[in-house]
Amino acid sequence: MFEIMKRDWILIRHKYLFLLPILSMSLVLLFPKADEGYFVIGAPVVFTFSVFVFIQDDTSLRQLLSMPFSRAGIARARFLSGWAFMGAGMVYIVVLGFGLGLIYPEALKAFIQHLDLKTLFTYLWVLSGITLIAYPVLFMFLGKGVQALIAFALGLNVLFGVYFLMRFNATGPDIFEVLKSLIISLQAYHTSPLNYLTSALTLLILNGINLKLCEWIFLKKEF
Amino acid sequence: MNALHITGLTKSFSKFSLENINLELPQGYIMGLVGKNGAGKTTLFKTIMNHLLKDDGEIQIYGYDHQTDEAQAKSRIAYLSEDPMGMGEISLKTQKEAFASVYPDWDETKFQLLLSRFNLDQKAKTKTLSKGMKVKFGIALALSHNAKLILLDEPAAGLDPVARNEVMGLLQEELQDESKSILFSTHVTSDLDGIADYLTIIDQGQILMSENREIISDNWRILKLEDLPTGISSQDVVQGIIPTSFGYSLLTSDITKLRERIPADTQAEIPNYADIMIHMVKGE
Repeated sequence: MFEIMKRDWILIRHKYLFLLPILSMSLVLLFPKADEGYFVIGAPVVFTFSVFVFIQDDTSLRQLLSMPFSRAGIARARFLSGWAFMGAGMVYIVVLGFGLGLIYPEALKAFIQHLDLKTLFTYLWVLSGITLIAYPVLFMFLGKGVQALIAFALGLNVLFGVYFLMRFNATGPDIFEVLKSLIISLQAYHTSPLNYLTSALTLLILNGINLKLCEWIFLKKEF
Repeated sequence: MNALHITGLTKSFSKFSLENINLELPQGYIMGLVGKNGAGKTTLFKTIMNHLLKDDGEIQIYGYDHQTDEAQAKSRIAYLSEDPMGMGEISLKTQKEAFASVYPDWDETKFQLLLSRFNLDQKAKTKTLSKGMKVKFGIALALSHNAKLILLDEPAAGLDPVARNEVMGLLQEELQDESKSILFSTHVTSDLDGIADYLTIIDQGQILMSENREIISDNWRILKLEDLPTGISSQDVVQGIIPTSFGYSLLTSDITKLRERIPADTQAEIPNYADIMIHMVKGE
């Protein structure tokens, strides 16, 4: 499994890594005061990096399927590669936050306020929420290359279309308000060691279920 | 021991299916898989590699099931697909680095030798390579990790005659190591001349024949007949009959069984691979 992740890294580092500083710098510059918006916007941005791990070149995936790995092993490695890449994105943003803090001390102060375990857990919950829906979809589209991107773009357009239509008719919730209140609730939950433990276990179970679902989808796929 | 053993393989699509495929490739031999475009060659390779999921049957590679022991089976395989290279923006060096990172038996010396033999520059990006150069690079990768079973889907396609000859020669060199076996597909029967130990013909998803070169040379014959003897076409050793300007050309897989049924002065020739394919695919 780690051999697959190593191979992915060799291929991806040349192709997509330049995007990481650009996107994360934009993020920090956009949200120097780092309130809840940091999660609302930041999590999808970091998640985007993990998508690059999934949607590689079709031929590269077929090459991987011809290598000495089981399909289940490939599925697990893809899943973990996604999370590893998100982890790398988070670390990068922290490092960059400190770097920018040398130029913008106020931004650094705000940034440091959010560098705690509570924030990390909230962040992990937000990312897990996204991956619970997005990873199975990505696994369905694996190996389809450009088609996957188009399908994703269409899907997002439909979602945004419906959302804005609802907002226009004042029948739907303001999604950002909903997300903000969710994040505030998550932060409020993480107060005692027992709550942290419960939170960590729940995250593990949720991601375990998601991994099994992704494996199952991958085992049924044809390339 | 069989390098590849396939029994009762079935794979269906809406408009095409592989039907009851049975195939054996013993260790140390080269098998040529011949068929027209769309005959099922690539589908067969993809099913062996588990890129396509079989409906029924068994596939074993050196005794390992290709699904339940997938990693073990694939560790013995080098597979070159029809479209061997992607990642156009990435250099050959990076491609190699990624490929070699998963094979503990990677032979860098051999890889470098093959690159210089094929005149390939490691700094070049994949998108700048011609089809022939991509195939050569794919072959260099495939042959450098000491796989025991080498599967090549149309390796000679897109190559000029000189390169074609070079690649075929290389495959023969690989077989100096008797623990290795090769299955390669082509729709050009001349690729097989003097190289394939086994000939397998596939048409419309079915294996029409799979036979050893020596058996073909000893038993198979093409008969030139002015008239067809009564009932001869129903004999199971008759593999195909084609009407010709002088009468009929008949392919038999066992000349001894037909001796008494044909005129004594009938012209009988050892068929080449093209003759066999034409009679079996086109003949009645």
